[in-house]
Amino acid sequence: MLKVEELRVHFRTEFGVVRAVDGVSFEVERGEKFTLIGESGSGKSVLAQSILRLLPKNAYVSGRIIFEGRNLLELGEEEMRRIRGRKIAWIPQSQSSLNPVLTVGLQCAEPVMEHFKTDKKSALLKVARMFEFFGMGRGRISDYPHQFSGGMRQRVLVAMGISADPEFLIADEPTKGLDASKRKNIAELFEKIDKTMLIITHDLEFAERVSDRIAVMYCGEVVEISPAKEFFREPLHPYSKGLLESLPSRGLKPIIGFQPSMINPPSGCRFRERCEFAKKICERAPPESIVDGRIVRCWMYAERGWA
Amino acid sequence: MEVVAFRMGIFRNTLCTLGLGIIVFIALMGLLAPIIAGDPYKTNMSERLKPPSLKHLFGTDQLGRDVYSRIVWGARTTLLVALTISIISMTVGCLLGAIAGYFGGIVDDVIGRIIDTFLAIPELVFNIALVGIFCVAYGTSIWNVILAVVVTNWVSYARVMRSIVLSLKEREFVICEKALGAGDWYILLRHVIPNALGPIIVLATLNMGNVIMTISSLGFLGLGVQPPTPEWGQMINAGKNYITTAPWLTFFPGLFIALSVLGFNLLGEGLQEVIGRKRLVE
Amino acid sequence: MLRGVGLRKVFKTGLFGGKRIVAVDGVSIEIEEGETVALVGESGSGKSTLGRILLMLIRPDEGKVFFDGIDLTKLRGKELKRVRIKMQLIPQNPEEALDPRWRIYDSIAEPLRIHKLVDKSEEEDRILELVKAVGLKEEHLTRYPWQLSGGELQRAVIARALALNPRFIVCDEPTSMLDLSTQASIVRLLMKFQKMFGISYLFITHDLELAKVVADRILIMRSGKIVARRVESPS
Repeated sequence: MLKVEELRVHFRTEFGVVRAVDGVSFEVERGEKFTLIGESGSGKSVLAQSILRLLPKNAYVSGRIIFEGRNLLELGEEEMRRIRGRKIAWIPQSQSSLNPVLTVGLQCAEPVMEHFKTDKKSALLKVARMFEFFGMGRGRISDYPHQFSGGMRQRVLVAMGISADPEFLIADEPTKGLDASKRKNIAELFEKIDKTMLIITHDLEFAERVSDRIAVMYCGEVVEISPAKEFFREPLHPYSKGLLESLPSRGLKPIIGFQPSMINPPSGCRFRERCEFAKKICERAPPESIVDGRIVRCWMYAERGWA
Repeated sequence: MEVVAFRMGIFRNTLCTLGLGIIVFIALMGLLAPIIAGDPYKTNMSERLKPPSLKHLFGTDQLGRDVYSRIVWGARTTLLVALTISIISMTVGCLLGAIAGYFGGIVDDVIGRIIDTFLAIPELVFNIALVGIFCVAYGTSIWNVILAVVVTNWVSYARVMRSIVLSLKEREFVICEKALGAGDWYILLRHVIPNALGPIIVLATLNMGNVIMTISSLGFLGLGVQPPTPEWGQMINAGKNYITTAPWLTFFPGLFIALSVLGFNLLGEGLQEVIGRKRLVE
Repeated sequence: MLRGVGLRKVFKTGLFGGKRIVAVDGVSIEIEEGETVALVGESGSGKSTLGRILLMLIRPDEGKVFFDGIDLTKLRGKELKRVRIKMQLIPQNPEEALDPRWRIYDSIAEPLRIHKLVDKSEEEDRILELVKAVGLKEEHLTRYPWQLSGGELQRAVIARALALNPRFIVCDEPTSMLDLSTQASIVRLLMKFQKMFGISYLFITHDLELAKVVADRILIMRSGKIVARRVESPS
């Protein structure tokens, strides 16, 4: 449904060129929840923003993003506007994206009115039904954002994202800054939503609950793409392993070293300086290997070269 | 490195460069007055009210004095007075505002109410009244003007400083300082005030424009710098009687007032952009 | 070693202080020498306020805090400053914890300078030693906070907190703003220093799993009260 091919996003800054996304390819299939996992600075948020072309002007984007047979990167601004919200919706990470002086009902109804050309009344009715479905109660549509708690506001944002019934949803860190129990609520909510989704998160527990497939990003590259169940049972890439083992419930084992700079990433495998398995060959860029239908970018799984 | 980046930011910003250019130009005028201009006091009754010419670039006034020389020397007066006012009101305002914001409680209540009271009085009217009172009490002196403007001008610094400090004192690094055992005054002077200086510098720059405006207004009303000392506002006042026959008497001082106010406003706006962008980068 | 008895703190907000929020509601807590007590609760449960009361950064409305038997609520000014050498805070957001205008070196040196504990020549040795202990490099010292990553910053904050050889540290969600792999390394670092120096920690977190790994005892806090206490078997 959405196909990203060899996507690169570079920023020119005073300190040099930041390669935030550097040659990423993946495909999200209809009906699945595809999650991009990565730590801060891995480029996952930039990747998501580039799909809707929300990046600032100093970003240089190349590659292809195919949605319904069309390359989004080649569309005009007018066509892009028709896709945003209507076909692809964005659930922002910041809860300050809500307008403090409008009722949340009205804010959710706005995209409905615009895309379906309906009147305010029926749009609000639709929003009220949605609020009920999300467990917030119909009456709350006439409340203002400050009357909601952090977790509730996140639900409002989700409601706003799906109010215009888009075909594709992008959620940017939906659990950021929320407590454990509220994260659980958002996870339950996401399980209820029956839509194709691209979820960006660093929250592994949340990812495990809601996703069908997982892609792991490290330093601007996707290093592994696996079905969620298999990923959490047995991650392939050394970085995926390290990430899972650093969970408190799985041993709280740190990954040695620091994340490399995005301006001068290490040559070859970008994880090699922190990898306990690294060998001489890792100084060359690892090829993409397919293991039991899972994609991994590590010499360990390459047919030739490791041994 | 931080300083260098900041400087680069200033010169990359058009507003900043333009504003700074105008200010440097006017400051140089004031600084080099003894070299580039003649005697602003020398009268010449045979050359009264002459229009601009090569000999008198901006013409002469009703006493035959060279308007160009008076404008150049006027820059010195205006800038010196404005700078004195700004420095005094900035120091007083920032300190009071910082104390109010940081310590809170009764101190804040008292200073806060004083600020509110001053904000409720129209500034220029208050300035005029104060100059009048000071004149009666202490006789005419340039310090009357300075003091009268400072009395109303410190308030904006205090208000801005107070609100910045209110948000700064909740920041974790300030709380950490307390946990480290640092005293309140140490924290205030070493950590809180330095971190508030960015917006204060912007405010001070924009405020310089206002102060120049106020000085000129007082001068125009005959309450500011007293003749024969050259000052732009007062020159407009003297020239207003000849506005139809000798418009250069009002035009040139007016032009330089406008130019200097514009300079400071442009620089202020520009600095705001530069500092704002620096925040974003961080 | 540290004991809080019957602590209570009410914040007044709203017009004329009309709205009252009971942040800490009659809490008693005890932390032994060399022990880690985890304080687990959701945001708004009052756990941060309790931590700050124990450090006397917030004065309680009721109750007492004893440190080695001395009642801290009775101390003022100089006496309190002397006690502060022994107790420290590691706050939640490392990007906020250091003065943005100061170089890392000066920030770490600050506690030494405030308490005038060492002279100039010793200062540098002490700081290099601290920096090495927390896993930073010398080159980090001349940088400004915005030039460091979250994990590096939190190491600098830890170095600063350790500079005075404290006996008690309140770690207020020290890893909640950090990435997963960084969280693990920071927590491991804190645990290492505890073993080395026998420091007591009050480890505030909202993550029960994390609390289980780090703590000897866990206290669960909800709406200003401690609602459950449990002992963890060492892992």
